[in-house]
Amino acid sequence: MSQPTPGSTEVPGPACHRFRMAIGDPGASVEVRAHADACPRCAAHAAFARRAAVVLGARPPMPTTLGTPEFLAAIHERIVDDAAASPVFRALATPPAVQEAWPDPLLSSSIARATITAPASPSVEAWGRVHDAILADLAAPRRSWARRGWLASGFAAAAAITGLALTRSEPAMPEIVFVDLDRAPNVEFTVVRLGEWR
Amino acid sequence: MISGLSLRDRAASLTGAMRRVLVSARAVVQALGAFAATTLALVATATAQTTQPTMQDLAVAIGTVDYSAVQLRRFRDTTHGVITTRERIDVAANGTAMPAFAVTFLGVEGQLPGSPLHLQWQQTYSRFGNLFFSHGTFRVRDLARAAQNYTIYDFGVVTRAGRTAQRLVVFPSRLDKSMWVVDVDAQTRVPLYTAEFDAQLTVVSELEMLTFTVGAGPIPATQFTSLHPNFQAARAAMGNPAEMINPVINAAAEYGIERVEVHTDPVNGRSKLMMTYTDGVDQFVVVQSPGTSDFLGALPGTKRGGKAIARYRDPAMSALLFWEGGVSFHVAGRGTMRRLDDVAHRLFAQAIATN
Repeated sequence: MSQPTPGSTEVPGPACHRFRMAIGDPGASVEVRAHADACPRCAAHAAFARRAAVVLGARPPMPTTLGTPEFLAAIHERIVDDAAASPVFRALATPPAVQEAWPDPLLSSSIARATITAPASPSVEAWGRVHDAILADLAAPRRSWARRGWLASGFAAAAAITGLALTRSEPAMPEIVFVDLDRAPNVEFTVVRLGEWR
Repeated sequence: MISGLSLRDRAASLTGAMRRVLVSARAVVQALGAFAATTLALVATATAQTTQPTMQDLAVAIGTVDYSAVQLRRFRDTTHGVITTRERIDVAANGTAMPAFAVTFLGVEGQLPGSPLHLQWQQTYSRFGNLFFSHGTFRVRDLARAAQNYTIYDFGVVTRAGRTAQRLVVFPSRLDKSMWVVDVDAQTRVPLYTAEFDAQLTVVSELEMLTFTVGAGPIPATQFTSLHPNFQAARAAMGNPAEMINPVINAAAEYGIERVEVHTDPVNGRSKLMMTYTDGVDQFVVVQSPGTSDFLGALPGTKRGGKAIARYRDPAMSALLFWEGGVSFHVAGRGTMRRLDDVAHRLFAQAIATN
């Protein structure tokens, strides 16, 4: 059986594959390394691999042109030019339209009123319900069906919080009472009517 | 059946109440008529026949007649005492219901010049004299409203300040306001005498001219008071205090805005906004004084942190005071008009909601 020569189209056999996979492996078996003695094609392949390893192992020097500031500036300019033509750059470069005055419908809207109105504090009654619910839970005796008690207090707390949320929507109007005075107050109309000024 | 009364009983009760109201109103008119007729009989010089002045005649006179007068102003204080002051008034018509005017204090009847009472009233006039004309005198302030809210009854001819005058009773459509007896000069239609009566026919104010001359003396420029077209302009003149409110007056629907003024106190330099409302003849004021402390905080009867309106009421005046957001408010008007309670209550709620 004649050995294939390098560059021939003969298909390498399994022994050729094992030898070629083991090239450069110092742990390869003797039988595998001995294949090169019997197969000139694999021997040529091994010789080529050794030469290529020398060439590929050396890092080629970078062309000096690539390191010049002019080259880097050209790259930067090209990036900027490409970005300038993009929709994103055009969107960012366009200043947002400035509204000289808010339109009247917006100023009179409920949103406008909500933004300029401080949120109302929860009423004393609502906080009182939450407070009572917590105290009732703490004071409740521990019994075998404590779980049911937890459920009840949970419902109570939920009801209190619901009430809290509902009362937050409208500012609580305090009670206004009339207190009668026994003498005329010191106001201009008192002078006009009674001629009195103290 | 409700509350033990049948429908028929309730209808009868209602009818009786309505009849009593009508009888009361008729009695009031008859009593005023009797008062007028008695006065008429005492005036022997009342011989000239004149036509009955209308509300429009009174309104036109205010806008067109210049005059000077010396007059007596009688105050009835809370102890039912009467103090009479003598003043000179010069009026220069300007085509409006509020002519240019000047009020000059002349003295207190029965008091020597320089007496403590004289000096006290001199100070009162120097500080509040203009209010006596703007808010203490009968005048048709708004012809349309006056015609709608009052009826004029003619009680014949009298003599006042040596001039022939027509006696009128100006009767309000609603009985919670004052009634007026007015002697109107037959020639110029200027009121020469006015007496204000409450619902019990008690005189609560009186103004009587002693001399009347057509043509006014010099009117000095008004100090410490500026007139403004509306609330916004007045507030701007005061430096736009944020806590002040543009009053919404719904509780006294027949009243409309008459004038908006900013008064500056010559003593302490503080400004206050006075908005005057009128039904054509009667007035009430809403005054806002920003930058004041809560003068009602320790008022007896108020709960801690509660909101209170201090109320004073007697036959001559009603005044309601409250404080909110650094602004003291007062609402004041003639007589015992209880609707002012509602006006003040709503304004207070408006101020709370604004601040």
